[in-house]
Amino acid sequence: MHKKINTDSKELFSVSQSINLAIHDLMNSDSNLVTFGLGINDPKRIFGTTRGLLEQYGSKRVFDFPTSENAMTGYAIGLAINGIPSITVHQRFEFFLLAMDQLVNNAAKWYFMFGSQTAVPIVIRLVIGKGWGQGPTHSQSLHSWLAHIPGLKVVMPHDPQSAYDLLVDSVLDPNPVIYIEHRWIHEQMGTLERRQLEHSKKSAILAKCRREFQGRPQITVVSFSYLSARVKTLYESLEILKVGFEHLTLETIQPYALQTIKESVKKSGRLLVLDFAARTGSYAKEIVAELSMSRDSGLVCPATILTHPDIIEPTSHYSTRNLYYDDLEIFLTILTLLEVHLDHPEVQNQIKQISNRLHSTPHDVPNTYFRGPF
Amino acid sequence: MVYTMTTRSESLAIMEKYFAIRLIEKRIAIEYPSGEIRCPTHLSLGQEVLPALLGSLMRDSDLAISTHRGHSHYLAKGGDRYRLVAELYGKVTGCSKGRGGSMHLVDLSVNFLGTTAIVANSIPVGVGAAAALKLRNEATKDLCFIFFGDGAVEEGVFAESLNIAVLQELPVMFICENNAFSVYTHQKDRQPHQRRIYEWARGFGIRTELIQVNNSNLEQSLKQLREALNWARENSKPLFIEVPSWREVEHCGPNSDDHLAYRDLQEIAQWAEVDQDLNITQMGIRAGILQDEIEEIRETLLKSIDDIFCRVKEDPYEISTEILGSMYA
Repeated sequence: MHKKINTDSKELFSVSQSINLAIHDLMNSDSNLVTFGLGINDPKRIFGTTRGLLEQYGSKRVFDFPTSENAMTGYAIGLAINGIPSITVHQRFEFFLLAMDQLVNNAAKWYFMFGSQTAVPIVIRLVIGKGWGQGPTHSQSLHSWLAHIPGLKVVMPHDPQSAYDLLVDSVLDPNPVIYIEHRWIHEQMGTLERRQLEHSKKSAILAKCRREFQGRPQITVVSFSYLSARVKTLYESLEILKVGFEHLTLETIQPYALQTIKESVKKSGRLLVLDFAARTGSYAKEIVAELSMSRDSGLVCPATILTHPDIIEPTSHYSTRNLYYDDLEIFLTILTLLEVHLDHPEVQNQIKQISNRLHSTPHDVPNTYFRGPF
Repeated sequence: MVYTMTTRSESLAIMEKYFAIRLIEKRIAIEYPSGEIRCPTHLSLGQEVLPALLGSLMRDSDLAISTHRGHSHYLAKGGDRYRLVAELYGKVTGCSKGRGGSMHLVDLSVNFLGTTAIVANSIPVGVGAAAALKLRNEATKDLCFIFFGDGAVEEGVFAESLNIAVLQELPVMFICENNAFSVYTHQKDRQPHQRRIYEWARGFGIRTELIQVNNSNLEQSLKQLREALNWARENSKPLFIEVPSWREVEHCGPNSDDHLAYRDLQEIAQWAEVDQDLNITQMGIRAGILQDEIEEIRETLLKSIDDIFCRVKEDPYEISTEILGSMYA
């Protein structure tokens, strides 16, 4: 449907740049589209994601907004039902909690509640914080709450290409879509193919899942968002140990590719699901619950999940050090599920390499040059 | 008393709308106990005059949005009467296919955007709708009418919305019908006694008006409303109007509940003296409408309302398989 723009495949883009380019391409192709949010035109331009928009499209289409998350969401609904779609943005997920009434009672319900007459084409960008003392109210991801609400769609990019594609898909979807971006993927680099968006015809997002695999699958690892980047750092070690796997990255969590997961588990017999929210009621459990209810899931051992514990995150750099699982724990969990002997020299070697990598960067920053402030 | 005369045709339109709202609400109250209308229903009985007056001042191209007590606003904007009643009965012929009920009314053919059931949560949607008017074409001078009650002003989103409307100079009419009660709780238990809502709102930098519609000089009320609306249209600015009002029956449902003694006897007696039917009728007579004509309007309405209720009861319901596929556009 969309033509690809030829780009030099060697050129690398960050996720922030990809989001920025997606908004540029979307605003170019649809002169009705507006974007707004607190700080959208400030000097930092939402981690660079709104750079150049004001200059290109003007203050009628790109505007800052009062510190009123709830009214802002209602305002977006009011625009949308009168023919003006929008992308709104909140620099932390938690600020958006003030807008739950508009999101849950209005945005999600409007189309259905008024007899399928008025669609609500809005996209809401939420940023999840992590590390650098984000603490109790700047570090949560409550994606499972949102996935729980019929009428909403929820997407989570994990690399530059998915960041671009999912934002385009979200804007083209006539329904309210929540676009959750993890702060720690903003500077992740990758290649990018942009789309030609001449005729931005509305089309619904379907369940999207990126499948990466190696060898004959002995385990299915399901992850999303930033966690997928973490799993990818283990590919090489797994290959050296000749561990065959399928790595499924959920790009949409409402709707989600349950059938793809089921088919993968049937082949591999083992399932590990990663999540970065508190354990109770987590999205990871949603997936495991679905699998556990099929008679022929193919599981040869119990499914496993890695989540954050049911705790409130403290701010202190020191007390967060051993709070959450890291790459090594993901790695060890995979090996344990496969009953690999951990004292094997090559296994020990890989463990050492992963540990060294982890120790080269403090646990609370995405890279060595990150200096906050948020 | 000096009356500013209204034209005969305008008076006729106001009267027709007034009696339509009142007679439909009364018929709902009569039918409700039979158990066929099975949804929370907040009647506009006692609060019909303002919507009837506004009905003649709102353009078709103006937008409007309202609350759980929204029958009168839907009807005032010209919402389809049959589809309102069908919605209450949960029929597929209802304005929201029976999915919304009394609290979720919509008629896009007359730009009535919807009514919502969470206190104050239609207000920011109305502000966004006004922003759409401004973005699309400011020159039309259309307005978005946002109806809400005295409870809504206590919600944070009310203050947020007012701030945005003033900041962005949006063409919004905030219309606060103050019936003094949030369910059973009096305004004096919710807001400082001396503070008037319209004065408080003025602090946001918005022009505000207190307009009475419960008196025998409705020409004066109409004139005030007209001037206010014209000002907002000409200046493309928001305006806030508070209108004291009184509901005749319980918060939700068809019955009088004054035996519960949550409303002050003196206040009840004071409002009981207001004879809206008489006030509306006399305004009509002053505009040259004959008593017989007024009777004819009522008779015609009663017949058509009777016809609506009889036909609606025969209509089908939406089947559940259709509902399942209707969550997403």
